[in-house]
Amino acid sequence: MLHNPADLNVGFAYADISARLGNDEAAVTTLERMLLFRPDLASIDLELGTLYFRMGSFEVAQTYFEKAMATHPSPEVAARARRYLGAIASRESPYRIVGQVLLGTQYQSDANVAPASTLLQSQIGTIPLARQFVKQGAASTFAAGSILYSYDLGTQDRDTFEVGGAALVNHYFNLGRLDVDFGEVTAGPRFRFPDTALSWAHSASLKPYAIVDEVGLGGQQYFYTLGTGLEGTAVLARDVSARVVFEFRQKKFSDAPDRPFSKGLSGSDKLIWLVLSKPITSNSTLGAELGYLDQGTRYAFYGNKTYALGASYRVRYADPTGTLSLPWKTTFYANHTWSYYGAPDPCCDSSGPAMAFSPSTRRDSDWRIGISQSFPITETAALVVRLQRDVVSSNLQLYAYTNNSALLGAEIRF
Amino acid sequence: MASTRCSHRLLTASAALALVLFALPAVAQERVGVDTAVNPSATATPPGGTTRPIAIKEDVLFNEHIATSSKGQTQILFLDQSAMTIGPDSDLTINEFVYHRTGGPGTLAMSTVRGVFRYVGGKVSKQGSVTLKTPLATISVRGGIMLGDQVPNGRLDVYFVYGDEIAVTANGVTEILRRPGFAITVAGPGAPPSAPYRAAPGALAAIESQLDGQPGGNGGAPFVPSEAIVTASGIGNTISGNFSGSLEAAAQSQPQAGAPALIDPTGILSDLQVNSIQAQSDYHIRQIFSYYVP
Repeated sequence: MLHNPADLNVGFAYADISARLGNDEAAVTTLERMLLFRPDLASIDLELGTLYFRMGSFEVAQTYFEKAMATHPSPEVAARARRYLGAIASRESPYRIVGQVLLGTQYQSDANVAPASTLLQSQIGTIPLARQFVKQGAASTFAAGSILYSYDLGTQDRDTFEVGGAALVNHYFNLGRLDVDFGEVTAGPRFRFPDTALSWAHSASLKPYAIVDEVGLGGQQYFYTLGTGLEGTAVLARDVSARVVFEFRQKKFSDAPDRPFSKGLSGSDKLIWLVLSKPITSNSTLGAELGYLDQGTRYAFYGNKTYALGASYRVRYADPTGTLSLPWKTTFYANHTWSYYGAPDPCCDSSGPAMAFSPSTRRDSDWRIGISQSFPITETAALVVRLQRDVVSSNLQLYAYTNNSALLGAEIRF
Repeated sequence: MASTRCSHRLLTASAALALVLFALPAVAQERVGVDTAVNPSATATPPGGTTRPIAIKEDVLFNEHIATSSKGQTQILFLDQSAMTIGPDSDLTINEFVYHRTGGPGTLAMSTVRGVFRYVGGKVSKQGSVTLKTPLATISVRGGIMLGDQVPNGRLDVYFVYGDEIAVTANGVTEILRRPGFAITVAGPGAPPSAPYRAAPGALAAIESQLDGQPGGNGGAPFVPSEAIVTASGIGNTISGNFSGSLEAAAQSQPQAGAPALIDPTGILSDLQVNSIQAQSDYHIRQIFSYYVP
């Protein structure tokens, strides 16, 4: 390049290789030189506009695309320039909406998360549980969705105000008392720190937010929540992404005829959650989660401290059958939680001396393992199949269960 | 030689040696880059030398003063692959250039008195220090691309196009640019830099139009590109033809939060503690609870 900068073949080859290697600046230098050689080439303006588009410099990109459109472009150049101009228009808008919807059906071998045994050791002796409170298999249909509206506050660091929403409707074919209707909204500003000046964190963001949710169970109000949270994200050394969440939630439960003591769950939740992810290869990512949840409740025996540990591995690969043009995605995951409750639970008798009621404080251990397989149909739509197994062991037999589930759904992203 | 080094200190030492052994011009002739495009007229004046018209492929020398006429433009490609393009009625002097081909931090220090310019970063800007002094301010570039306009005896406008950050220091005050499309202005002699602000619509286009060739000009190239040559090069397939890749790259350049995670329809009952309360309407459990709980 330094020896013969006017050699067009060398110049284009250099720009091509630079762009392939992600060195967009070198490609820009070369193509801008081509415009000094001849300024009225629409195709050069198109390529320069695209390079600036890739860099996120949309104002400059727009300048080149508009110049290309004004320089009698070929139909193909004009079509490409129009497509990029359309993409710029959506990115230059101060607001942005992204979201996803998952519609489908699932079968659960223990849909009511109940024990397999019909007999329960209680303080009044061994009692038979009514059939509806013993393990039941059931199928359900569901719709889950989430959405994020973000408004660019126009600061240099791209601070935004975000409103997020998540909703779930899960209705059983034959277990209506456990139908769930869930809706949650969070809102708050996100402050970004593109250069933290810290050796261990390249960029970060901080988002304080408010939480409101409403949950229905069996067609009746179950509880509502008011809360606050603080989310921090950071890109750490070695491409590790971190997200940490602190939340305080005040939950108010309502009783219903078939659950007359639900109000005993009312109280406050304190949550700390850390999620780490790291690309292992160009097509795979390893994830890890650490969590702590302190649930304070009106009835002390419902209150608990829960510790969670999880790991996941996500890989993307070409369709081995050659049927679909887009890559398949497979996620393996496993989680383990330990819950330690705050007071002896009156529900059950546990290994005390004969003829004396001996309640115990509940301790649960939950293993969850699963595999999720995504078959993309288009860039924004995919079929999802998921198999999962939950094994909850507890020192109180009322709370132990094993649930195997299979889920089939259609996912749409926007 | 593994590195090219041109600093004031080195020059001083080299000049002293040259005076003894050879002649001073031998040191001053050290190359820092090449003129890769020149639209007439543009001139170069080496230190202590005479002004001459410059042409494409000519070396750019340390401490050389380059100037353009009212229609002149030139692009300088430095040895580290960074590039400086100056528009009409502009000037530029390369005050310092330290570049190690084998790696390590380098230095590029330039100065200008007037005109429009575009700097596209190379290896030095990513690892070392790149500064441009104007009569009003010192601009430091870390990675990336900037545009600027120094009005003679007037204001300075600096525009961030791409990269990590650009610092503008004037009158002892430093302001930082980080976002494409944002600018800083120094209003005049003795003024501090403004806070970063979003550039007015058309401001960037106005500067680009002074840097991207002149009607009828050929940049000094014996053969100029045509649409057919561009098409045959295949570069359109690599860059503009890869729309999804461009979208992905643009998204990476502007990190944005994604939608909240979906609520898990399988684990929801467990998450909502339904297993804790679902048996409350069982006759026996209800009796026990009625007795035991407040």
